[in-house]
Amino acid sequence: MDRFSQLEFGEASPERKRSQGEPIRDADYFHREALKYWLAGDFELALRNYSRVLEKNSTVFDAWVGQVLMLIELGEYHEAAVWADKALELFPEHPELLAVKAVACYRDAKLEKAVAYSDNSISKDNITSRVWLARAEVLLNRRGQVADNCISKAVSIAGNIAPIIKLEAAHLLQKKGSYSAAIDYLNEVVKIFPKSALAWYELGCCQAKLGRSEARATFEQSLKLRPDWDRAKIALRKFNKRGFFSRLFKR
Amino acid sequence: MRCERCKFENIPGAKRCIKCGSALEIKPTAINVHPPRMSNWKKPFRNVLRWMRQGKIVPQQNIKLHFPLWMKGIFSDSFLGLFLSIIPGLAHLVQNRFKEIRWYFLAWLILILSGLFLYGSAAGFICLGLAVGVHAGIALQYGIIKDLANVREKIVTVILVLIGLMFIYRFIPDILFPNLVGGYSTLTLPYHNVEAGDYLLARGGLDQDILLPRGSLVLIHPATLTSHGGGVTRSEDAIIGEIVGLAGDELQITDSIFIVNGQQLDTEKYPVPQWLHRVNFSATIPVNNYFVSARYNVRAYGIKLESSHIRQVCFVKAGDIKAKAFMRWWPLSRRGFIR
Repeated sequence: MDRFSQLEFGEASPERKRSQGEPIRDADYFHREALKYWLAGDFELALRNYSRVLEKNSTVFDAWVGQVLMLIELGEYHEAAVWADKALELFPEHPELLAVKAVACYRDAKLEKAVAYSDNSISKDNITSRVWLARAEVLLNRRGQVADNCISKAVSIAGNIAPIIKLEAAHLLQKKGSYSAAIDYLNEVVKIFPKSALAWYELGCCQAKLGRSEARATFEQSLKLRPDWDRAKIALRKFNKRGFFSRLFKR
Repeated sequence: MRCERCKFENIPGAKRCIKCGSALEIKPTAINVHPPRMSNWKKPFRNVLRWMRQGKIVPQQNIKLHFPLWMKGIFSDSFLGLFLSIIPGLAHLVQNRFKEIRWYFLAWLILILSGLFLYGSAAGFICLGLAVGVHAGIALQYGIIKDLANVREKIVTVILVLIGLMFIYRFIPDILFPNLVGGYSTLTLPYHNVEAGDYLLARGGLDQDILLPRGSLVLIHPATLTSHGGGVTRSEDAIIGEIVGLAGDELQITDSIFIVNGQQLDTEKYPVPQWLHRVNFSATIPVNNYFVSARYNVRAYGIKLESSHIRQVCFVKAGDIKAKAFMRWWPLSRRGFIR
C-alpha cells in the first residue's frame, strides 16, 4: 500500500474495489461506529460518526440525539442546545430532543430553562427512557427519591437500549453519590459490553469512590481496551496515589 | 410516504407528517448535519459564566427563612434583606436571587480590590467610595427601595444606608486587621528606599519587653512644643520615625552626623533630619526610652532650639511607640517590604 492510496480524488479517481467482507458504509454502519466510539468514551469520534450517519440519511432521529449527547459529553453545552433546536426544527416538539436540550441547559447552569424543557418533554406522549433520565438529572439535587424514581422508570422502559440507558443511569447515580447502585448497573453493562472502555472506567470511578481495591484492576481493564485514554490514566494514577487517610476512611 | 418517527403512512408529497409533524422528505444537501463547535479559547470564559450562574439556584438550596410573627411585624423581608446585605449579595444568595446582582457584585469586588491595592492614594479612596455606593445599591435593590413609594423616603433611605455602610467600612479594617496601621514618613532614608511623604504600613501590638533594634522605622505620635519651652504635647496624627539610639546609649550629634557610643553612624542609614543640622547635641538616653529621629514640629512658635527641647521631643518612651513599619505602601513604584 503506497502512501497516497488513502487520498480521495472525487469522481475522477478510479473506484476502489471493495474487498471481500468489508462492510457497506451506509448509515447503519456509521451508527454502529458511533455507538462503538461512544462506549469507548471517545465522544469526538462518536460525534463525527453521527454526522456521517446524517450525511447518509438526515432523517435518522437517533443520530440527531446522539450528536446533541456527544456535544454535551464534550462540554459544549451551548452548541448542544443550538443543535437540539436545529433538530427540533425537523422533529418538532419531540420529547427526547426537548429532554436532551434540558440536560444541555442544566449542565450549562441554566436551571430555569432546564426545568422548563424537562417539564415540556415529560408532558408529551410517547415518553422515552432518555426523557426520564433527563428528568432525573434536572432533579438530581432535589431532596428525596425523585431522581431515583426517574432513573428506575427510565431503566424499566428502556427495552432494547437498556444497557446504554443503564450506563447513563449509572453516571447519574455516580454524580448523585449513590455509588453502590451505580456499580450494580455498571456490572450489568460490562457483562453486555465487555469491550466498553467507558463502562469499565465508570465502574472504576464508582469503586474508587467507595475505596474498593478492585478499582485498580477496573481502570487497568479500561486502559487495556483504550490504552491512550488520558481520563482513565489520570484516574488510575490518582487511585494509586491516594493517601493513607483516604485509604483508611474509604474502606 | 412513511414517517420515520411514528411510522404513520402519509399522503405522497407531504412535507410533514400529519400525525406527529415530523419532516418527511429531507434533501441531504439542504441540511447542514455538522454541528457548531466551541472554540478552545471560549472554554475558560464559558466556565466562569457557568460558575457565576451556578450561584443562583440549586433546587435543594432553596432556603426559606421562617420568623416568628412578632418578629415579622418589626422586620419586613426587605429589612432582613438589608441587614443580610451587610455582606454584599448574601441576602440575594440566600433567596436564590444572586443572578440579579451578579454584575454589581463583580463590580463591587473589582472596586474593593482596586481600592485596597491603591489604598492611601486619591484613586484608592475613590474606588472605596464607589464600592460603598455599589454595596448600598445591592442592599437597596433587594427590596426596600421598591417598598417605598415616596421619593423623599427613598432619598432618606439611600442616605441612611450609605452612612451606615460608611460607618461599617470605617471599622471593618480594625476588626479584620486589628494591628495594621499606617503612617507617612517624615524622613528620606536612602538605605530603606524611603522618601519623605511615603506612606508606610506598620504592625502594631508590639511587646514592650522586646527591645526594638536600631534603625527600626516606627510609628509615633510626634511631639510638638506647646509654647516657649513650656512643654510638649503629642500630636494625634501619627508619623514614621527612625530609632537611632537605644536606652543607655551615649548619643551625640556633631556636624550633621549621629555618633552613638563613640561610633559614627552611616549617614545613608541614619541621616540627621534638617532641623538638627546646626545643632550640637549630646545626651545619654534614659531607661525605657528611644531616641527617635523624625521631623518634629519644634519651631512652630519661633522658639530657639535648645538641647532640652531635643530631649523632650526625640526621647520617646517605649510605650509611646505604636507600631513598627514593615512595608512601603505608597507610592506604587516603591512598594515593597522594608529591609
